[in-house]
Amino acid sequence: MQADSAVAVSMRGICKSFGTVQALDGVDMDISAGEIRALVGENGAGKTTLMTILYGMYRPDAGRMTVWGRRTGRDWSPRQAIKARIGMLHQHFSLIPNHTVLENVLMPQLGWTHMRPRWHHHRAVLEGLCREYGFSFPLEARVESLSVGQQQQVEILKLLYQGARLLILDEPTAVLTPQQTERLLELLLRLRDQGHSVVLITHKLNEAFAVADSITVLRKGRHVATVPRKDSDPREIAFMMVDREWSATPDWELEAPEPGPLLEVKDLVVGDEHQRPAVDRVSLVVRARELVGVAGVAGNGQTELAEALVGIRRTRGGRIVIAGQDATSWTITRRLRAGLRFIPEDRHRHGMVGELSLAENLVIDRCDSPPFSVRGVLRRPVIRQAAAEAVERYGIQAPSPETPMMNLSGGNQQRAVLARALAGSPRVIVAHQPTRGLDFAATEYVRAQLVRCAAQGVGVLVFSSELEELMLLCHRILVMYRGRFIGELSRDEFDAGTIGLLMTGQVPDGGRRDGQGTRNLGQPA
Amino acid sequence: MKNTAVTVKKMLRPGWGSSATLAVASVVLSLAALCVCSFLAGASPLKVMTALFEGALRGRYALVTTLSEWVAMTLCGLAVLIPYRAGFFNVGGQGQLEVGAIAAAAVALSLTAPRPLVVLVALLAAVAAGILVVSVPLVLRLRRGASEVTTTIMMNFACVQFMYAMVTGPLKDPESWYGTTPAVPEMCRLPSFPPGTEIPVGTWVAVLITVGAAWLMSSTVFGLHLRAVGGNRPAAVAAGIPAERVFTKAVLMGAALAGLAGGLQLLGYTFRVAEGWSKSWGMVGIPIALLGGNPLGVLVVGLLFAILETGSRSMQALTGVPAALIYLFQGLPVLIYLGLRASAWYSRWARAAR
Repeated sequence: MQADSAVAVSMRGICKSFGTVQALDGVDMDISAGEIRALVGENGAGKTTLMTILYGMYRPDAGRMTVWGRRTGRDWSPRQAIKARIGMLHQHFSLIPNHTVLENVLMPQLGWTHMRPRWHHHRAVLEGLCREYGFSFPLEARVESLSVGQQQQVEILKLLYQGARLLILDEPTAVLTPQQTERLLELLLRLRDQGHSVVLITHKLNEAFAVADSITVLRKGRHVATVPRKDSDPREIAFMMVDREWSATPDWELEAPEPGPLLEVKDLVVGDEHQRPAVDRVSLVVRARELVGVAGVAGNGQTELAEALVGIRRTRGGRIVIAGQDATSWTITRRLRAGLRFIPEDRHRHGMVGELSLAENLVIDRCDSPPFSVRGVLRRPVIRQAAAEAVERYGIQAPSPETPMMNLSGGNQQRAVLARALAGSPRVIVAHQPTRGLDFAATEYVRAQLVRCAAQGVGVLVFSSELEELMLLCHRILVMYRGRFIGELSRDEFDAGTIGLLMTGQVPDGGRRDGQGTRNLGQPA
Repeated sequence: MKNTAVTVKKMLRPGWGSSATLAVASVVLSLAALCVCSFLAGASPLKVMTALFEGALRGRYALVTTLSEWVAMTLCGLAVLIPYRAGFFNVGGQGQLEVGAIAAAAVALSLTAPRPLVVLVALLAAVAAGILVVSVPLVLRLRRGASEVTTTIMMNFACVQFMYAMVTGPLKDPESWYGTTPAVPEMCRLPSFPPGTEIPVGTWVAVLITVGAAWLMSSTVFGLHLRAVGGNRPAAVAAGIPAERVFTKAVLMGAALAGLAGGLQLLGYTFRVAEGWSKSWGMVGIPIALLGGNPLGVLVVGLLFAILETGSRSMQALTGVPAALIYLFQGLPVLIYLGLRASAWYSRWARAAR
């Protein structure tokens, strides 16, 4: 009954919102049996949300779904999805590291009544599957001893053993090396040839174009288009991914930067949690009065670069120079004193202490020096005064400066983070996703403050996954891909299509691709 | 009418205010539970309460006992509270206290010098012992990331056994038939202050330390750093706070206070370290710290717990209600407190108050 229905899954008018954020807004999607569908879009476009709804983990606010020709009920759940032969490979593996492959694969199917599983029988079947798909790990191996690529194969084996005919893979190549990626894509083709359907969530267009039969583009929770691969090209898809409505040249008055470099980064290498180089010999220069943007799909080394610059993360090579002084080995405090300020990507993690009051949060990085303290004793009146001024100047809405920071709204928390970063005399500001999660007014406000700062002689480095923001704010935009800058555009060259293409790793034809690779990008000519 | 409601709601705003409210509510509820239990045990709740508080507060001897208990409970409460604020849950107060007392006993029994000097050296030895004991869990946490909850509990066992080894071995009173040190000589014991009142000088020490700790936490750079490190360590690091140093200092400070509590109890109250010499002051420090919430709160809750501890004897004698019921009471307020805190009713109320 399943094989002969050409449409595996049909989703109609799917809506889903989280709080005030509309993650999906009436999305339609059909998946045929035996096709590979690439689901592409920027961060926050709703790709994962849409697929987790299909998998039953979220319940849609509106819309209906048909799976193998049958309407799903209100009680649609992962359990039912698995029964309906849908399997999902999540970004984070759900494996038990100190269990063997065999145990991990079997576990979801064993009930508490299975006192003595028929290991031999299962092992024989699984060995057959492994041969068929070319998995090379022993079934007795503990999962923790396998490479990341092999662990992913274990996950896929688990799905296949559960009988999945439709496999959803959420950014499967994010954790893989290029060779492993190659093998995964080959595996997907083989699965397709055997009649499986595959949904490949990705924002890497080269992968989508390597294997997909058709490509669905989401943008800001809406379905933009579904096109067969052969009728399209990466450039067209990149255009669809970024905001097409945005076309006018930015009309922000930006002052001309001063010539000398204020922040200089040379051949910086930064490792990620697994000691892989997340930032790979990156160089850049930020001058006084200059706003430099770093664009890129999240996870291409931006977080590591920003954290290394402010001193939270260790560097493995290269140099950081602040106003002519080598700051590579400086402590965070010393960098702060030198005027390097940070607006972190995740303010809850790096920007604020929720239990402390607003006033305390505003001075926490400088409370150990006058005028805020004398010989280790806080001067409450001075701190209160400074807080009152910041509240006034940055329009922070709070019942009082003594209110715990966690009781403020997100926008006001971000204003406080901004107020702290801009207090004193900043010289270089590293702003990482400074407007993420903010409403319209707060976004406008933060952007205006950054531009104002630059006009006063500060160098600003903005990391953002929103192209529109960077194109509005910056003198120059550097595009980061896999830990390197693969493109640089000055303000008169800004073009959403080109940048979007660069973000997915494609260097456009006729673009500025010099023979010596990408290392010299980031520095003004 | 409406205004009153608004004022009340404001007073009960989440934060210090509402935590204190919750603490008081849970103490009151636990006292009510105690009344119910004593009723079930066949005694009149009113009589039980009277016996309890009179037994702790009426008469010179009762008062001195209560004050002595108060000293240990307050210091042990702080020994939990201060590290806890920096993100270290010190469950090892008991062990730090035991070893602190042994160290003080060793000094007091062997050193012959003028009284102030002996007392001072003995107390310093107690402090050093507390620090020594906590350094094992601390280093394991800093270097290896081992959970201090496990390691400090394990240290408790090691410390108690060490104490047994000492009182049955090197420090044993030769004239005694059970494991105990000799009584510390009269001249090394802590005096009362003001002289002639029998108020143990330790009481003043504990009060001074508590006030000092309250000031340290709220009004110094160190206190602010400490609360930041405990509240959100990555953010504290990003703000340039030397998190590891602050954390270490807070932990050592807590353990030092637990050790000091051991020394003070020895020199001012028990005069001997023996098998089963101490009450579980170090352990009771945990509920006291959780309910107290801040140093001054610890002082108050510590007094309440000390009253119950002392009063339980006369309660048993006068009403027949088992004194063990008091230990039930020591745990109950924390459970009620946490239960109230986690309840949907409370979170709704806290939101409404905001």
